[in-house]
Amino acid sequence: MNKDYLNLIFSGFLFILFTLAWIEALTFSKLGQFFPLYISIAGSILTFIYLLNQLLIIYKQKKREGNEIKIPLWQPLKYIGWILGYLLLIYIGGLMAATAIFLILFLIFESKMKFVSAGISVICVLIAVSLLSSALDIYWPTNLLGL
Amino acid sequence: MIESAVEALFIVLDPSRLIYMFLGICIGVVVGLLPGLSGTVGMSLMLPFVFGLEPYVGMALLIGMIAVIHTGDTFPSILLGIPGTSGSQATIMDGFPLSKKGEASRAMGAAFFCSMVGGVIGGIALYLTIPFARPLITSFSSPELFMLTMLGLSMAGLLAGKSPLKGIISGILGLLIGAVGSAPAVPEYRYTFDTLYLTQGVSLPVVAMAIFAFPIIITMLTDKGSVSSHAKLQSGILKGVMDALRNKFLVFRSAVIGVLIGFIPGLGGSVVDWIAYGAGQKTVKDNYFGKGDIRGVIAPESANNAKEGGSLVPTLLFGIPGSGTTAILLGGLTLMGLEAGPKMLSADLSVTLSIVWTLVFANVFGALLCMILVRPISKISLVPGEKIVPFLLILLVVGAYQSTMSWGDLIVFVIIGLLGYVMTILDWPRPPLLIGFVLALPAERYYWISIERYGWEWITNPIVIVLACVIIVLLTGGTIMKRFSKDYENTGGV
Repeated sequence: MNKDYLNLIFSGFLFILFTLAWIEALTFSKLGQFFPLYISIAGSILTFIYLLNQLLIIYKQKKREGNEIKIPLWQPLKYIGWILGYLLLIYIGGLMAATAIFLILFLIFESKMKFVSAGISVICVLIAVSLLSSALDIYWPTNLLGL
Repeated sequence: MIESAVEALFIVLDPSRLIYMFLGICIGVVVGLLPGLSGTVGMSLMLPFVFGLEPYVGMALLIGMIAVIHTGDTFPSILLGIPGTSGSQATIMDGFPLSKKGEASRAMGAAFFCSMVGGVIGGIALYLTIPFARPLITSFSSPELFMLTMLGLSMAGLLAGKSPLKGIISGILGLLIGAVGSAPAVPEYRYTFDTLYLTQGVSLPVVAMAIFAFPIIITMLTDKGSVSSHAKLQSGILKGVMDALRNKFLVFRSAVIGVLIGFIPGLGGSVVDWIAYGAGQKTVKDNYFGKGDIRGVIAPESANNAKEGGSLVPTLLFGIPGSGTTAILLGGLTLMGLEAGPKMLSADLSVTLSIVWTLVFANVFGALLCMILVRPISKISLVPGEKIVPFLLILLVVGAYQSTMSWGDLIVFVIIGLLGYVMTILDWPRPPLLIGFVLALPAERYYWISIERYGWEWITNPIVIVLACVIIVLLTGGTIMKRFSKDYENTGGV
């Protein structure tokens, strides 16, 4: 995707975010609102200025035609998918089961590791995570399967 | 005083106490190494073990650990671009680019040496301030503290790089995220959308890891390479040490900044590295901070260890903890039958002085231990991204989750991580966001107290005026100096 367009979308998103924060801040009590209200107003105004500036840049670039920087989106989305998948697995089967499944699949399909090496890595990681969890007294949330 | 110091030295050098100090050092290095774990976690782990221990032994264990956390946290910051703790965020700015160039050992050599020197300066500062600590600390009230938060926020502008507007928006976004949760001035929750998790606000370790680590793990996978672009690591610990020695004034200046910020309770160690980094950026000539300048590693690393000595002054002498770590340390003192306060300067003076010595020794031994570990650990930067990332991700998930042990930590980690990734690919500066986030609550709190207590009169306070001048000089000094040097170049000084 064109970097300038992506930047425009992102700036637009920030503008909407600041404006919503501004509207929300109006519902707070007087003492609670001054800080979020002023920073969200400042954020809205500055992102609006930046947004206009970006539009101007894109308009000028269109006239000149060229020098477009493309940002690949498919590859990052694939890896973000892996991360979200891991969290979904934790939600369904708990940390230990999710870690084992995620790690073995990732190491075999993405890292191109052999099954034996991947298996040994998984066992080592599970031991390390168990030790860390017990040392830090981490209680993982209950999951859908109740594991 | 000197006699008592010598006496305390012999107490600390007792072999049985030294063993506990080394144990503390080892735990501190590991806590620093693991992203997401902070001094607070380390202290919580150690606290049950100090119950009933002799004060000198217990202090050797606790102070040994606290002293070196900011030495150990350099490893992930430089090698992976992930902050080991919140005090090593600024080290990433130049440490990680150096690692990419295959100069991780050089960066770490400089960092560990500076950590050692900074830590020793912190210890000396603690010793020297014991007689006159009281007037120094009591001279800071809410207006001065507010101005110090403003000084921290001005760093957001300095770190914005080529686009100041983007930097300011990024800083404001950080302030807005920091405003989530309970309001300091009134019992009210803001931007919580009726979720229990957000009532406590968003956790700093989660934000720090998400904004820096998440983009890096995605980039490492998409780039299909290792952190270091060079196939072979250059050996350079000694080179790094020499770099630090060549910049001895920067080391000293940054350490003094660290000590001074450490003195002030509540400002926290999360900004000390940024302030030292920003000050270094403005005062070092011909720098290329942010692109792999070794001086960008030296400044924050000298400051973050020095801060520990400073932060112990209000903790030990007044019982005012400046951070979560020192709050737990106060608990540790009670468990050992000690009481923070003026008694630490009279009846328990030997314990206070043993803490000074432990701080000095732990920094020296901790830095040496890390230097020994540099070669084996540096190899991480040669491991291909797709092989190291899954392990890193698991570590980050555990690190993020342990923050408040809620699903919210993981959700926030992903959301802020995605924001950080988009900011990375679109060249939006991320450090201002973190600075804004860290300083949001203290800025609001101190501003509100200042207005409530003094009206607008506080603006005429001399320390406030001095701090305002420092902020103006920091923000404009670089531009003025550049113009002067350009004029000088053009006219040849005539």
